[in-house]
Amino acid sequence: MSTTDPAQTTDPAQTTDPAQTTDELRRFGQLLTQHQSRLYAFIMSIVGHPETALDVFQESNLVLWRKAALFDHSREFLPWAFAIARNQVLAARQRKGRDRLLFDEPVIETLCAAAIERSAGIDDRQLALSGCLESLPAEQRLLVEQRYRQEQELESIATSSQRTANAVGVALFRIRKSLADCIGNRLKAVRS
Amino acid sequence: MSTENPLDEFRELWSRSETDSLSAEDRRRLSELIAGDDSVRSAMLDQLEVEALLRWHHGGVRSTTHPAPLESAPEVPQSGWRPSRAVVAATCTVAGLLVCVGLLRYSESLPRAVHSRPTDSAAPSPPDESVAESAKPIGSRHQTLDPPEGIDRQALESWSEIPAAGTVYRIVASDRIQLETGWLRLESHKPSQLVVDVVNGSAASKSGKFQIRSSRVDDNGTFQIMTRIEVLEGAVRFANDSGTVTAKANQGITCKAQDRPRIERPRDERPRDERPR
Repeated sequence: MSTTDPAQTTDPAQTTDPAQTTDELRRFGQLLTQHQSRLYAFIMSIVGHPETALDVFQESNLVLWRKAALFDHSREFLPWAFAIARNQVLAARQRKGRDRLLFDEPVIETLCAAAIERSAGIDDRQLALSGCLESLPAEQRLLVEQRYRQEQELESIATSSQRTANAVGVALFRIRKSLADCIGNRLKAVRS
Repeated sequence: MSTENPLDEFRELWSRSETDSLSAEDRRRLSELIAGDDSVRSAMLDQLEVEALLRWHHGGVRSTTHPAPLESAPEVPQSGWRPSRAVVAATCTVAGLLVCVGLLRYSESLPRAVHSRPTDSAAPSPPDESVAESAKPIGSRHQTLDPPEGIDRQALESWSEIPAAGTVYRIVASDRIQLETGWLRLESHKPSQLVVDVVNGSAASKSGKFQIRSSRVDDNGTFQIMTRIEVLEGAVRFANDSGTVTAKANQGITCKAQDRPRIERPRDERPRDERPR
């Protein structure tokens, strides 16, 4: 992925027709809305920390909106958006140091390539997740509810379930592994 | 630690990263494992991807994509200022709202074909003690999107609707919408009944604010239509042939494949640091 800002490659003076601009802004809004989950998953994959990922995701959205008039609609949207998101991750890394970003820049670059490859199927995996969640044992489903719907901290879940926070972390790790396997199997079954 | 199986070592480190208890040495080792071992990298990407899917699924990142009222929009300085997270979210959502408004006003291609209101429909009554509970959805679930000839474009009278991109719906009367697929946010300007028909049943409200989504979900290898409603203000009653439920503010309703609708427990809307630990 290029390290230059891809939004700078288009001359904004080319889009001066108001009607064209309105239409392009509308199309841009559709593209951005349509790809929100992919953008978020991409950022999460290279940041590795949920709350930092959310910050970067929202900052990336703001930057994307600011650069909307610069987007060349003859080109693909996602590579352009991912490049901007990647730049935001690197900027966040510079601002925050290593506090909440797990990875060094070379690792981020490696993860970028892998995350881009995976992003194509994210919508199908999102659909498959619903079925996989319902197939979880009740105890695991409760843990997912507590962590992701009620957004409880690990320590809070640990206290209410009389476990250590680390034990809850390990349980969540296993649940995510199990869900990843389930999603993969369901998609294989649907495609075959 | 480096003599362990890399995947076991990764699992141990990753579980600890959730409690923010990684040392600098742990971080260095984690980066080393991810950069040097394909199986570890794949396992980590699985973890992060499912983490993202779960947060998305449960609404943990919805603030960015959901439209906000225009009056909540702050001005964003062009430079020399770092916007707060809340301001960024509000700005993004307002930008999304503006696009939706532009879409409504300027695009003739928006799928808002109109139909006459079914005359003998029995919609769920709005949640009001004075209204009977024997609500049933209307029977117009599978109409085509082509508008019938001679029917004028209609608009809601006392409610405003904000659709997400890709949403397919039609306003069948000044107090009735059919949502085919996608996501709608609805807000009343004055007390007046509104009915939203989806494939799994019908939702009714007299006033307030709610959002309703109709989407496909994978159910053991077969795709089903899932309806989700989140009540932000007021109350919403949802009814189909299998049952009727009423949700109040901060509650949700889910219904899949025309099963009995269910009330979802309310989300804890308090800031994280004010929630019980």
